[in-house]
Amino acid sequence: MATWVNRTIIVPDAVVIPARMACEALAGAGGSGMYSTPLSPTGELPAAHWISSGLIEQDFADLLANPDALAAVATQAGLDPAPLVAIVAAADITDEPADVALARLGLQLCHQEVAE
Amino acid sequence: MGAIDRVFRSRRPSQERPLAAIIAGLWRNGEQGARYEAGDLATMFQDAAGTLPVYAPGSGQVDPPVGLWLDKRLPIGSELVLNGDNESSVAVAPEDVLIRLSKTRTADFAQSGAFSTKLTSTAGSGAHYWQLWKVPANKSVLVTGFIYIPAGAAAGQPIRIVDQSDGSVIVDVAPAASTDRWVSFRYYRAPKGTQWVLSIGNNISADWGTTSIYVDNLSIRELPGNHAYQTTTTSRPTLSARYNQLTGTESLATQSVPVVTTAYTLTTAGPGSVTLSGAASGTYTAGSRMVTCTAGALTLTVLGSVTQADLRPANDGVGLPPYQRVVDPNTYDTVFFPPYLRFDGVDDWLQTAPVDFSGTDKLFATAALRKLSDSAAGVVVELSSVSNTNNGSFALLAPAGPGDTFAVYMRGATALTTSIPSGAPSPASRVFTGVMDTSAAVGGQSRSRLNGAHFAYASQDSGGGNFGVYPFYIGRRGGTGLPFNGRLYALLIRSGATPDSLILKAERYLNQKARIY
Repeated sequence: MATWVNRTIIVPDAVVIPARMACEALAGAGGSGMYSTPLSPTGELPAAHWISSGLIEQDFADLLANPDALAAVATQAGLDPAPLVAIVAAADITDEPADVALARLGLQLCHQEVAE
Repeated sequence: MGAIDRVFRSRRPSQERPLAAIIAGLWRNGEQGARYEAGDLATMFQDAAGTLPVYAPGSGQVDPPVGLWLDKRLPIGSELVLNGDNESSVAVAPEDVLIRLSKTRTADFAQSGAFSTKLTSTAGSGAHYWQLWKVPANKSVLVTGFIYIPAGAAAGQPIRIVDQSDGSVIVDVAPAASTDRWVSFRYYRAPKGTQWVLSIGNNISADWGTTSIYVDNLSIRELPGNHAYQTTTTSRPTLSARYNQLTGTESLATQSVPVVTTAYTLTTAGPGSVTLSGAASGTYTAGSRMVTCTAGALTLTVLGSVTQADLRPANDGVGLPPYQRVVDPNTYDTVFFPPYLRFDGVDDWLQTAPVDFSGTDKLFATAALRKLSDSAAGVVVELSSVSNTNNGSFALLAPAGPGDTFAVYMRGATALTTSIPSGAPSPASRVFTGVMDTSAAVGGQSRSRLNGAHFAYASQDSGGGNFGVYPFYIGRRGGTGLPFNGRLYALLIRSGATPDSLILKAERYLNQKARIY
C-alpha cells in the first residue's frame, strides 16, 4: 500500500525543464507532467518559478530529502546525479500547503485569461 | 415512535428510492455523458490504472488521492474469460495467443479452488507473453486476477501487464520480489483510439528458462463509460470529508487555524472557555454561536476544559451534525458528512478519453460543488481543452473570473455564449447547472440554474451546430490553466433534451449527496 505525504515543490524557471525530465525519469508516468503551473512575484507572466503541489509517495519524498540517496538512485537509473542534486538544492520543497509556501516566498500563481 | 417519526420513517425511503432510480435511468437510452459521485468509494482509485482502491478518508491516513474516478452510468461488461478460475478447464482469454509460453491446467498451486493456469516458458531469449485480448478501439478494459511466482522462477523478473501494440503501458503486477505468494492485480486502461493488444508476461529479453508462473481467477471485462483519470501523482485531487477545521476536538488545546472572511459557527462543550484573537475576538463558554472572521489566522486560546469543539463556515452544509470529532488531520468522523473531491486550485485535475457528443445539440451538466476562492477563474468541468474557441463545447466555471460568480460557457458552430450568475462570494456551495441547446432561439440557447432554480439565460447566439468529440477536463482548463479551488461532490452530464422536471430531480439528487440547500 502506498503511503502518501503532502509536498509543495517550487522550482526556479531556469531549471524547470530538467526538473520535469528528472521527475519523469525517476517516477515514471506518475512523475510526468509536473511543474505546469507558472508563478511570479506579481502574478504576471513570464514565470519566475513553477509549482507542483499534492501527494507524493513517502519513498519519493525521502529521496528528495536525501541528496546521497537521490544520487545513488539517479546513478542506478542511468542519470547523471550532479544536475539532479543541483535541481533539488535549488528547489523549495516543504510539507506546507501551497498557499502557505507561496506567501512565504512572495510568489503568486500567474494570471490566466479566460478568453483565450 | 411518535407521529413525526412515523411520517419521517415512512416517507423517506419512498422518496429516495425513486429519485436514485430516476437518476440511474437518465442514460438508459444510450445518452452520452457522465456520472461521478464522491460518495461512492467503490468508484475511486488512488492511481490512474485503478490498481489501488481509495481508502475511507479520516481513517488515520492522509486523505487519499483520486487518480481514477469511474463514471457509474453504465454497468461493468460481462466476463470475457472462460474458466478464469480454472476449476472446469484451463482459462481461455478472448485472444489467447501465447508467445514463447505454454499453458496448462495444474493442481500445483491454486489461489482458490484446486487448479490454476501454469505458464511455462520455452528456453531461449526474448519476450514471454500471454496475449489476453485485442482490445477494440475506444473500449476501456479492466483486467484482474492473481499471480504466483515460485522462488527462482521467471528469471527473477517482474511480471507485467503490457500493451504490446506500442509498449507504452507497462504495469508491474507482480514484482520480482513477490515470490512464493499469490499477488492480486487489477489494471484499468482508458480507451485508446486504436485497437491494442493486452498481454501479461515478461517483456524483458532475459531467459525465463523452463520455470513456471501461475495465474488464477483471471477476469477481463469491458468497463464502459467516460472515466476520469490523472496520471501525474501531484495533480490528483484528494478525497475528504473534513468540515471541522479544529483538531484534538474532544479536549481542545490552544491552536491557530487559517480562516477566510465569512461567518463561522463555533460550537463547544465543557466547563472551560475559548478566547478568540486574530481574525475574530471574543470569549465564549459552552454553546453554539456565529463568529464573523476576517481573512487570516484565528487563534483559539483555551482556558479550562473545552470539549466537542467545532469550527466551520456557517454556510458549509445544511443539516450536518453540529459536531465532527477530529483527532488529527488524518483521523476524524465521517458518518453523515458528505465526502468530496478537493481540488487545490494549483494543479489538480482529471480528464477522460474523448467523449462523442457529435450526435446531439442539447445537453445539461450539473455539479454539486463548493468554491473556496474568488481570486481567479476556475474550471469545474469543460468539454474540450478550451470551450471559448473549440466549436461544440461547453464549460462550467466557479468562479468565472476574479469575483463572486459562476459561469456556463457554451460554444456552438461559430460563437461563445455565456451565462454568469453572480452574488455568491466564496466560500459558497451550490448545485450549479448549465442547460444547453444550440438549436434553440437566440436568447434561449444556454442557461444557468442554481440550487434547483432557474437563474438566467445567455443572450448571445452560438451559431448552432452539434457538440463535438472532446475529452472532459475536470478541475483545470486543458490540464494547464484556470485551476478550480474547491470541492466537487458530484457531477452529472447528459446529452439530449431533458425536461426541466427531470433536471430538477437531478439537482435534488445531487443535493441529497452534498447537503447544500
